[in-house]
Amino acid sequence: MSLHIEGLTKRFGGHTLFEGLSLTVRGPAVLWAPSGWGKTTLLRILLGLERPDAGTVAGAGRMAAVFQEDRLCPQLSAVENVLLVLPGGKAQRGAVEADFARLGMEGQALTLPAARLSGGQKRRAALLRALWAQADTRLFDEPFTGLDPEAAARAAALLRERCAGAPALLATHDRAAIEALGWPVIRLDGIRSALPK
Amino acid sequence: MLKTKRSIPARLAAAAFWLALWQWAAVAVGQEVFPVSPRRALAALDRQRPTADFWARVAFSSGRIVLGFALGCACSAALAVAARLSRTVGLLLDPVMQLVKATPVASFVILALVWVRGRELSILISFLMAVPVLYGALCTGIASADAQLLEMARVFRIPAGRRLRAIWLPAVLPAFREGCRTALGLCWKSGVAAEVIGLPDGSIGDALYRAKITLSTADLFAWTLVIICLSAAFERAFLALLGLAVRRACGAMPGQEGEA
Repeated sequence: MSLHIEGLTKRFGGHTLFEGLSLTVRGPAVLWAPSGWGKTTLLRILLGLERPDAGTVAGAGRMAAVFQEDRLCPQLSAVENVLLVLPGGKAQRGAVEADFARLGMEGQALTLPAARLSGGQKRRAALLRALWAQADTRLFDEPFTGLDPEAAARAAALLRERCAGAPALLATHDRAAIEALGWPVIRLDGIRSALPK
Repeated sequence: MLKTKRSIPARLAAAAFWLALWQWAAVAVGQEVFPVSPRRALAALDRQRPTADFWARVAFSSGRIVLGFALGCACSAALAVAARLSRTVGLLLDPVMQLVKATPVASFVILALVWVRGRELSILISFLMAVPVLYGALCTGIASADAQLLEMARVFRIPAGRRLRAIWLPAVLPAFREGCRTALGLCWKSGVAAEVIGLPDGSIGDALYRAKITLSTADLFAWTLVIICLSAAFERAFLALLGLAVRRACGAMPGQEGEA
C-alpha cells in the first residue's frame, strides 16, 4: 500500500501555498517545512477535509490522524476516546490502558473526562487514538505538542513500533523527535516533489 | 451568567413570606370571594384531594398534556434533523415556527374546536406550544455541535450511533433541556387554557370553569395550585429522567460530573 500525491496545488486568494507537489509515500516519513508553508493544509487535503485547486491523491485508503488540535470528546475519558474509533472497542480496553501506561498516563487520569485532562494528557489520547484506529494511512500534525521530552521520546518509540510498513506522514518541527523517530525526512521547503527512501 | 443555588430553608422562607403577604391581603380586604385566604384555598384542596373525581381530573389533564408534549418532542426532533440536512426545509420551517409561536393560544383553540373534539383539544394545543420552542432549541443545539469533532468522526469513520452518542447528543442536550423546561410550562398553561375553552368533561380546565361560574374562588385557587404543582413535578421528573438518559448514553457531561 502506498500513498500517491500527484501535482497537488493549493492557493488561498492570490497566495500559492504549494504548487505541483508530487510524492509517493510507502512507509512512515517526517514532513518538514518552515512554519506557514502549508503542512496542515496539505494534511487536511490528504484527509479529504479540503479540496486542492489541482492534483490528485490516491491510495490513502482508510485514514487516521492526529490533528493540530486534540479533538477529543470532552465528556469521554482518554481511554473511551480511543475506544470510540475501534469497532467492538470495549474488548481492547486493557491493551489501550497498557499503551497509556507506556506513555506515562495511569490511574485517575484514565477515568477523568477529557475536558479535565492537561494538554499533554490530551495529546497522548489523540496520539493513541490515531495509532489504535484501523487505518491504511496515518497522518500526524505536530503530535508531540505539549509533551515533555521524556513523554515525547516514549511517544516516538511507540510511533516507530506501530507505524512500520504502512504509509504515515508526520509533520513536526521537533528536531529531537525527528531524530528519535529515525524516519526519512521529506523537506518541503524549496522542493516540489520528493520521494522518501 | 453565574447561577447561585439557594438553600432549601432560604427558599422555604421566601415562600412563607409570600404566603404571609397573601394571608394579610385576604384579611385586610376582608371579603369571602376575592382574594380568598391561603388557608381557605388549602382547605378547599384538602377537601378535594381524597375524592376519586380529583384524581380522575388530574389523570385526564396530565395524560393529555404530557402526550401533547411528547408528540411535540418527537415532531420537533424530526423537523430539526430535516432542517439540518436540508437548508430548504429549514427555510420553509422558519416562518411556520414563527407563526405558531406568535399566534395566541385562544385563536388556535377556537380554530381547532372546528375539527377536534374538546377531549383531544389539550393534546393538540400542548403539541402546538411545544413544537416551536423545542424545534428552536434543537436547531440551536445541532448548530452548536463541534465542527472539529465532526471532522474527526468523518476521518475515523465513526459509525452513526457512536457519533450520535459521543458528539451530537452532548451538543444538543443542554439546549434541548432548557427548551423542555420552557415548553413543559407552556404546555401546562396552554393545555389547561384549552380545556377551559373546550370544556371536556372530567378535566382540570372544566373544574376551573365550574369554580368560576359558581364564584368558588377557594376551589379556583386550589385547582390553580394543583396545576402549578403538577407542572413543577412533571418538569422535575422529566428533567431528571433526561439527565439519567444522557448520563447512560453519553457519560458525564462537562460540568455535571458531580450531579446526582
